[in-house]
Amino acid sequence: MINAGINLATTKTQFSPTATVLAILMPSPGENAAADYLQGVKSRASEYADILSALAGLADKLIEASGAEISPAKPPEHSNLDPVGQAMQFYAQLQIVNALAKNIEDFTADVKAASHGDNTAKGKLGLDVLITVLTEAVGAYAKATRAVRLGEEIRAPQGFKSPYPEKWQRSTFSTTQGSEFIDDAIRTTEQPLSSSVTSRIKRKAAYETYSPHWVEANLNDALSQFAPGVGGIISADGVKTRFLNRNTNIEVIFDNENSYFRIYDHNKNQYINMNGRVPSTNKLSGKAAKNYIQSQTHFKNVRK
Amino acid sequence: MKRQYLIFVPDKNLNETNTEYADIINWGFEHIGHSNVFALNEEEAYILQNETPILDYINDNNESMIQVGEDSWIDSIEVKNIVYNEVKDYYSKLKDGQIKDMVSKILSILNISIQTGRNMYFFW
Repeated sequence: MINAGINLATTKTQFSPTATVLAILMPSPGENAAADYLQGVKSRASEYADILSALAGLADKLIEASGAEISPAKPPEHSNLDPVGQAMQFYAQLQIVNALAKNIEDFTADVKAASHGDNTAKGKLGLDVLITVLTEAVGAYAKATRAVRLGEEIRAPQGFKSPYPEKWQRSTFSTTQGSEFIDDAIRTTEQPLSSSVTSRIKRKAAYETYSPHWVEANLNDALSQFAPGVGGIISADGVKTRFLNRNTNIEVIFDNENSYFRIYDHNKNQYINMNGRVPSTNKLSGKAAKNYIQSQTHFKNVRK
Repeated sequence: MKRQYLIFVPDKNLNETNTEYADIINWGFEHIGHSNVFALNEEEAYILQNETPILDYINDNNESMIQVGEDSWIDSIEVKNIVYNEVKDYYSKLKDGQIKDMVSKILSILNISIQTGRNMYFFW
């Protein structure tokens, strides 16, 4: 499982930053639609840039660790780990770098796909955001690649081999610190980093697509009406905050990412409107019915 | 207050065309246990949302934003077929366990929706 981590050759083959940037910049069928959307998304560009900047920051730290802190001749003086633990830590960091590179690759593929959509939720992202995100991704990828290359210098082809003298390994290998770092690395590589990022972007895109049809309302007004004095509980993924009135079994569900809310009546098992009623489809059918129901039970939060 | 998150296809006794959406949802809650109804608890809903690509398959093709706290339905036969093939391919790669059992149930309901021409509802 440990050896499955680093595969630079595969990553290089599947992802070419330059080619991908060019592909994004070249005119595509969806570009006109995206261009129309440019003005509206410029303010969001920084949000995605922040996410990728954070990844680039991680890569910077890894490069620093690989260049300055790992030395076969001398263990780092300020480290709390023994030499083998240090080496294992570095190997664990490489696992993380690999996960980073792979996830950026996946993430970039999603972003690239988004540039070709002109009438889907993905297409609504807009070209400006795509370029910003991709530029950051390329930077992070390059740094991660460099860190992996540096790491290869101390990693044997058939798996981990400590760069430290054998006597150090024998005397210190019983420590559990190194294996803890390996465990951390495995846990990290198993986490779908790009999945959480792309899911967030998809939710944002869906919000941008559908919210123009939603009613505007004030969250505090809804809370005063349906859940006065009720404390909110944030969902495990941080996306929703729920305010459940246990006296009435009515719950206000606020979306933390995109600032909208819905109201759910547990007695009726239905989403309700601001009047506390279940909206009627009014003899509409198909997409019209779907849009109408959604518009009546979603509320864009506006401040008074 | 524990919610149940429904995925279902109404049976032939319910006329979708002349029935209010709220009443269709009521049918789902009244028929939990029916072979056309898959009722998930909150933990299962989050697993399906965060640990599988199923909702992405649907939302990317269905112009919907189904997730915990969001409801919608699939009515297009083209979308159903696309999603069915994607889910089936994903299912074939799964190891035995909770997720495979959940995906199997979704495939079954999706197949019912395709065979009967009835909508597939996600009341989340």
